[in-house]
Formats: sequence, C-alpha cells, structure tokens
Amino acid sequence: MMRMFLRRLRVVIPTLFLITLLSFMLRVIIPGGPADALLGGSDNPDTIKMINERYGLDRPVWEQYLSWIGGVLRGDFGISYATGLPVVDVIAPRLASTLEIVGFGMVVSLVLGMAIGMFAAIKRETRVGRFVFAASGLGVSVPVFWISTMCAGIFGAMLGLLPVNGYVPWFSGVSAHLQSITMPVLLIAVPPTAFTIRHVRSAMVAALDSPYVRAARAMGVSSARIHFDLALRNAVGPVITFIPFLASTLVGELVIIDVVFVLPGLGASIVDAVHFRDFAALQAIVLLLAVAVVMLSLIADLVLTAIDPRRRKAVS
Amino acid sequence: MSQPSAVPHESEHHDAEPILSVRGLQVDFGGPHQAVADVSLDLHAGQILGVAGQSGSGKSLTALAALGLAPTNADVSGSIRFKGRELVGAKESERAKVRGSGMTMIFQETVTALNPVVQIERQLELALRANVACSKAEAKDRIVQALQDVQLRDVSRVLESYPHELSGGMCQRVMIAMALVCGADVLFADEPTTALDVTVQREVMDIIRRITDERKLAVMLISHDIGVLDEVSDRLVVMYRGRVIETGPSSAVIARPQHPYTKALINSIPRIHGSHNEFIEMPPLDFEEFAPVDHQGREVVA
Repeated sequence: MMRMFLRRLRVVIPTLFLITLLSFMLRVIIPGGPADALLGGSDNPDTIKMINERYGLDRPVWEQYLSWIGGVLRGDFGISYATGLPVVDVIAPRLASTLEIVGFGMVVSLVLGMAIGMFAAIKRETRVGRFVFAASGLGVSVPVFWISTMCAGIFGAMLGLLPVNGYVPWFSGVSAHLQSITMPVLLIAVPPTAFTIRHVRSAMVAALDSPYVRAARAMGVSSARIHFDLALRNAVGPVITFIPFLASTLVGELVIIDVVFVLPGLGASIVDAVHFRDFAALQAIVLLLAVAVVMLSLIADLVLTAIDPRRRKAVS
Repeated sequence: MSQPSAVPHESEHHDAEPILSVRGLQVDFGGPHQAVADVSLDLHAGQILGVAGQSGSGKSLTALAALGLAPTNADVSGSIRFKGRELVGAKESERAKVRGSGMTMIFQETVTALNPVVQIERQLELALRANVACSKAEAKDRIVQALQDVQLRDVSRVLESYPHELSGGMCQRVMIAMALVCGADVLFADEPTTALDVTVQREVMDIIRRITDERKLAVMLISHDIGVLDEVSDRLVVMYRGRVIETGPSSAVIARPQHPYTKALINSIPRIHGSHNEFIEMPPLDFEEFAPVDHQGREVVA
C-alpha cells in the first residue's frame, strides 16, 4: 500500500508542477493585463508602468513564476488586482456555495447514477431498460446552460416553485437555504448523472455477462444476490475510478450554474477574474480546482488498491 | 441402421428411471438453422454420459437449456424432465429452485469462473447457502470436506485465496467442490479440462469419475475430444449440427462407429505410433441418408 502510494506520488508531483505551470501561463497567454482592465482603456504609459511595477509584472516571467510558487507554497496567492485584497480573502467566501453545490451534485450523480445504471443493466433486454439507456444519452449531450435556463424559466419564473437567483446561507434559514440550492444541485448533476448511468450500466453488464456470474447462476445463487452481491461488487471498482472524472465535469459546469443562478461561488469568481484580467485570482482558482481533481484521483487509486485484491497483490 | 449392443450391463441402467430425461429438445434463435434441432438423451445416477461433437453442434446449449440458462432470445421446446418433473415451460422460480440443489454445471473457464474479488471460502459459502440451510460451523465443515474430496492440498490456504492466486487446475477443483456443496444430483461438465494441461486434465477427469461413483451423480461430460470421453464415460452421445447422430455404450461407439461423422471424429484423435492420421474432409451430411445410430438396437430419432 505504502509502495503504491509512493509510486503514485511519482506521477502526482510532476502533474502538480505542470498544473502550476499551466495556470501561471494563463497570464502570459491571455491578452491584456491588469493595467488595461484597471485603467479602462487609458494608455498613459506612466500609469501602466506604475501598475506593472506595483504587481511585479515588469520582472521576467520566470522570476514572477518562482515568486508566485514560493507564495503558493506558503499559502499566499498574492494580491487580487481587481480588488486589491489578498486572493485568499477573495476566494474563501466563495468556497461555501461551491463546496456545497459540487459536493451535493456529486452525491446526487453517484446515488441516482448507480441506482438507475444498475436498473438499466439488469433490465437491459427489456424496453424500459433500453429507454433508460437512450435517455441517459440525451442527458450526456444536453447543454447545461440550456437546460438550466429552461428550468429556471419554468420552475422559477413561470411556476414560482423555486427561487432562481441568489444563495441563502444556512444561518438565514434552513428552508430558504435548501430551496436556493435545489435547482443548482439538480441541474449541475444532469450530465454527471447521465455519465454515471452509462458507466455503471456497462460495468454491471460486463459483470453480469461474465463467466463467474454464469457459474454462480448454475450453482443456484439467486438473481438478487447475483445483482447486488456479485455484479455490484465488481462494478464498484470502475465507478471509483470514474469519480475524479465526475468531479472535473462538475467543476466545468460550475461556471455556468453560478452564472445562471447568480451564485457567489468559484465559478462566478472565474468569470469575474477573466473579466477584470485578475490573473492573480484566476491562477489561484484554476490551481485550486485542478489540485482538488488530482488529489481525488490519488485517493480513488488508493481506495481501489485497498478494495481490489488483484491490485493489492500486484503492488505489494 | 441398427446395431445390437454387446455390453450387458447397459440394460440394467435402462431399467432404472433416469434422473434427467431430455426428449426432442429444440433450441431456436430464429435463424435459418436450429442450434439444437432434435436431442434426446438420459442421464442416470452414477453414470457419466459423454457428449462429443464439434463447436456449434449444440452440446453446451443442450446443457444450458436443461438448466434454464439458455440465452434469453432462445426459444426452447421439447421435453426436459428432471426426476419426473417437466421443466420446459415451467415458471422461472420453479427452474431456479432446481439449479444448484438439483442440477449444476461447471465450465471450461477456470480462473474466470470464480468471482475475482472474493475469497474462495466466501464463494463456496455463497453457493452452499444458496442451496442448503446450515449453521456457520457446519457450513465450514462441508466446504472443507468438499475441497478434500477434490483432492486439494493445503485447504486452509486455498480457502483464503483469491482466484488469481490459484492455478487453473486448482480453480477447476474449486468449481467441482462448489458443485458438490450445492448437493446437486446432476452435473453438467462443459469442457472442464480443455483449458488445463494434460497431466492436470487426467487428475480432474479422475476426480469427476470418482465423485460420480461415490455420490451417485448423473454426469453429462461435454467435450470436443472423443478420446478424452472414451476414457471416463459410460455411454457416449455424438452430436452433429444440433442432432444426436450416434449413441451407445462408449466402448461400442468407439470400437464400431457406424455414422461417418463419428468415424471422422474418432479418426481425428492424434496417435503417437504408426502413420499419421489421414485427414477426412467432411461433406455436409444428409440426415436422410445417414440415419442416427443407436447401439442399443433402436433408432434414436423417430
């Protein structure tokens, strides 16, 4: 297990390094700088020079990178150009809604996706099983910005069932809080749920068609046991491998959900940061999200090693 | 085309009621040819019925159909009677009850026929508990006993192993042990030694022979290799294109094959000494011209 962990670290550390490099490159690649954004088109060279000097943007790129990395390692992500506040203070208040929406979105996708995926696998030869599978194809391909706008319009504006904008924190009322996150959570979960259904279904079908399930049937093991004990147990591995992918899908949709439902999350921060050329904030958010996904993969790998005897053997 | 039988003990078995009796079995997938066109055979307690034939002749499908495990798109008709009870057309719940405790099957796959992520002991326990209600201690006793019956050494290590930690031969023994703990009367063994090397093959065949005698099992042993069947089976059935084309005591069928297909099949057994086998090109055989042969002295197909 320890050796497996060390072996994975050999991959994770270069990956993390690459992520820092890529997120830092954003400021080099994206045209315009904080000076443009802050001055609103003024081209007074002295002012631009002053702003660039203040944020250290006049130094060579590699030097900027090193000093940024040095700060990041100490938990200092620099100063947000747009607000003049430390980036940490800009991001921290945004974490609450994002963690909640991505977290619940993940739970909804996994629970619904596994249940429906299993159902579709067990019923794969029936009409309803095929229908569920086809519907999941629709779920994978539907654009989130479209379906969330439609739902906001129908359930919010027309029927008035749920609020369509804003985030109500816990302490302002539990019921109002839950109402404010219901639609964002369900909608952010649409494509990940559909992906999970397809993934679980194919893993379950592979297990159900395997020689060991056929043998178990011949030995008189009941269908319920075969579905929930044998096939599910063997489908858990592929699902765990799949979780980091799920997380990256959710993070990608966060931007759209935050904008459509006017939520104060990291997705909204990304949009603001791009808008104001606030590279310090942008780098920090991109880095944070990417590191979260990488860490999740590492955890998924470790869990998988712990539960699958074949992997355990292979690395010990 | 009838051939009188020269083997006297065969008649005794035919006095006893067969445990499994298949008559006029047909399995149809809706294609131009029937996968199983017309199969009749009996399985008797304490006897091994060898079923020979090439791939696609319907051997495995006959066994799967008897268990009720034919693919769901297969149309099964005819008669399958287990201990006098008709199974064709019976409810799935009825058929499920027969699987395991009544009839069971082992396969050509050895390692992959076991669940890759579960220890052997738990797998045997699952099979046992699916068929027999017993205490934890009694379950353990039965499992250990079954593993000893299939001559596995180092039983305690096997119990806590995962399938990938065992050899193919060991896995096949575990599968046989699993069939034993189920307490079935009928065992279908579908090419059980095909994936194993020759010496292990022999050991596994000997085990199957021994448990058949000791536990009075009715065994249907499927193989494409008629030479292997000749050594262990009491009676033989030769299948060709979904039909039984020759049947009788193994010794009679091997010594005096009547049907051209049987002759070709026997001719295909490699010989160590003497000249190499002449390759016989098999033309598609006409069932009108070459009627099925029964060495008991009656036509198999009416």
